[in-house]
Amino acid sequence: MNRRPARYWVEAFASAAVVFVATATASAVETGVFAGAVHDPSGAPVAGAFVTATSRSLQRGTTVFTDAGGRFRLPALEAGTYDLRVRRIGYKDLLQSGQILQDGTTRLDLRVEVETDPNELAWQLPSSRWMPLLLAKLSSDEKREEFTRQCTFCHQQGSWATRVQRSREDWDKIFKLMGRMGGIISADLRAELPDAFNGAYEEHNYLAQLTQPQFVSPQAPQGAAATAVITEWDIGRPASMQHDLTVHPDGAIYSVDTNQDQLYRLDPRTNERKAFPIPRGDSPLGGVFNSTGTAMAPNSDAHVAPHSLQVAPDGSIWVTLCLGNKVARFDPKTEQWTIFEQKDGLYPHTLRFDQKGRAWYTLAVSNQVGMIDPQTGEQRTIRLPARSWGQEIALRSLPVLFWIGRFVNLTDHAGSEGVNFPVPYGIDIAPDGAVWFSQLNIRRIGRIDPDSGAIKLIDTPFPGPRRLRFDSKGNLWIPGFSGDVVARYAPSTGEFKTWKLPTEGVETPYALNVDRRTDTVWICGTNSDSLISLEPATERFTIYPLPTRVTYTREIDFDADGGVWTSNSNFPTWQIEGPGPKLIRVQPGAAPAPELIAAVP
Amino acid sequence: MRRTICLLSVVVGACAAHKPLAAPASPPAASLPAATGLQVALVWSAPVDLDLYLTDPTWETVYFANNPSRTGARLLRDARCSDVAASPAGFVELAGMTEPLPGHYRVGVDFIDACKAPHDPVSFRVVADYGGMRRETVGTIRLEEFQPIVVEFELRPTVPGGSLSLTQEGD
Repeated sequence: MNRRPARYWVEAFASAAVVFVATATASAVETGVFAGAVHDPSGAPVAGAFVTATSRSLQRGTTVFTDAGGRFRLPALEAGTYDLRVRRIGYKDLLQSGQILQDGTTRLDLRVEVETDPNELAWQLPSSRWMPLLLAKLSSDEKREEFTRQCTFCHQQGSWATRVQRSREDWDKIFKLMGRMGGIISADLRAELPDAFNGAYEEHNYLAQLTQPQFVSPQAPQGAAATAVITEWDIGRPASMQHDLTVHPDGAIYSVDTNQDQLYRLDPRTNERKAFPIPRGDSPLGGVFNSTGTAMAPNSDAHVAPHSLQVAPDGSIWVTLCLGNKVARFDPKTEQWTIFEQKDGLYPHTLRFDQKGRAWYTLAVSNQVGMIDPQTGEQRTIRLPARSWGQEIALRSLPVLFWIGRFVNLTDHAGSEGVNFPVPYGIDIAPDGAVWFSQLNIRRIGRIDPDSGAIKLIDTPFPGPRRLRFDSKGNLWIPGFSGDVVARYAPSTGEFKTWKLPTEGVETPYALNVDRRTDTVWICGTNSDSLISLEPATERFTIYPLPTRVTYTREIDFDADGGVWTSNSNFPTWQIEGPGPKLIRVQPGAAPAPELIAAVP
Repeated sequence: MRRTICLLSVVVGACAAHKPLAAPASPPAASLPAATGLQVALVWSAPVDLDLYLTDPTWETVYFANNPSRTGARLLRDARCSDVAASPAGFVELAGMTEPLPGHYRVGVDFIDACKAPHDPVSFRVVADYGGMRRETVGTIRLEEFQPIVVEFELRPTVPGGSLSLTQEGD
């Protein structure tokens, strides 16, 4: 039986009615300001607390942090009704529904109660703090790495949904379901995990590890994070899998819903959201995997499953359709689609454009890279080397296996070989036009000469290289998903430099992006409900905590005004706190200075 | 070898030895908890582990690994291999919502484990009951096959704000 905090229920239903109506549209003038201070019962200021004002009508939450004096000032918002929440780990959430915001400043003196229940304190902590309890129960570093890489790529590990006591029989069934979604684990790990889960998340163990001898609240945000404004827009439906997003030069934000075959557009200036159904053609439910019964969630409506998207030089939006095995082009002006069939290869994944306007994308299942030249219509695929002949043979046999899968289910016979299939994942284009990729499961990155197709392979000194990006100087930045590191690779010298991420506990950085205007590296704090920035010049990290629990991020992009965008992509979506997925904008240092409000004793 | 034989048999359309049994009868009311609200039952005819998935109008699914759901749906009876081995009458899974939401429901079935029984296809029946109304369907499923949509139905208010009525997709 799941133990689910009452809060999750309350907040889910407070907002659920809103999400079920069609997407919101509102264009209003921001004329009202919430400002005030947060204190504890003794009158002491509470620093570093999230103060969030959520408009149900706009389906949007706006958050700032309290300063050292407990003071806060939200940016100007539209007059209307808001639900206010104050949240700081170590205190009970303060919820005030139906706050009326009028023109001018609405002053608030808010008091939060100290949380003293050890269970509640532990449950306030992000997944990153819980996951080490599980890892400590595994018998080797190899198993810890395998678990991190295979068991965290749809959802967080250590979240409330993973901390359920289950029988070995139920755990084994869950591992089977996981395998169908691509998370295949070895028999050795499978044997250890049920006891590890149940032991790690048994009450006596977690209370001892997380709250004794003394519970320590995380540090308040520092630097530009302390004065950040975080805005979260609800998007899609509760069954949406809000995968990637991209910022259009016209200011709109586009994102894709993998589970519902939708492209969404958000205009953050007006809050208008619009959904564009992606043409399915003759793709059945489950797409090309329909015959094998894999990659299908029980609430799936995915026939083509959009995954990654980018803005082309001509302003069109290009989307990989991983289950449909297609690539789509969407023209925002005409709202028309063009579909490119992927005749060779499987599972179009992450997509980027080169300087010549050609789309390059990884084909994750078949270990290839694809290319489409919109100007000439040329389509090309390049087969990447695997680690072994066994892998090569298995990969080349995939079309036959898929055909057999129409008659016989093969998912139970995938075996542990799937654990180390290469899985080309991230892709980016170097300043010299070369195409770089990562192979997630085999600790490798590579370079493709786009003219000759020649491939150079480079082993990484860390596991799980995932969504990589170049900075303006030609350095390649790589998140080590199952290594809790970020790395810089200099193609000119062939040298790596790695940094352990500053997250407390275990981080699983799914993606990063480099703001090439400043070369600041932004990293997904995928297991800790955060974004993390790194200034390469000073090697200084800044953690930006995000207000919604179970915020699983997979992609980052930047707007023209310095806003950093990501999306909450945890799947299953119902594990996310609140009604569903969100598009998230972080504006470092953008919070207005709080007014001086004297503490009330 | 058995799998290979079956594969060849299927390819030539002659896997007669593995024809599923006829669809099981609807579950007798006495074998189920008292019906309040919406109840969805999955019954089958072999000592194997089938799993029931009920997706509610919020698109959350209640099943053995997500029980209860946020909307209050519960898997009331979960039959595992250990259960079906112990009780031949136990080939039943049951989900319910005491106060179901209006809207669209989806029922899925997964043949996740043969429980050491022969790997033959299994016949099943899904029955949805609400307020004296019933919708049901039958099907067959192979080992390791997941059928995400075996039946869909709606609970709609008969009049605005009134009691709900169960209707099949397409009614």
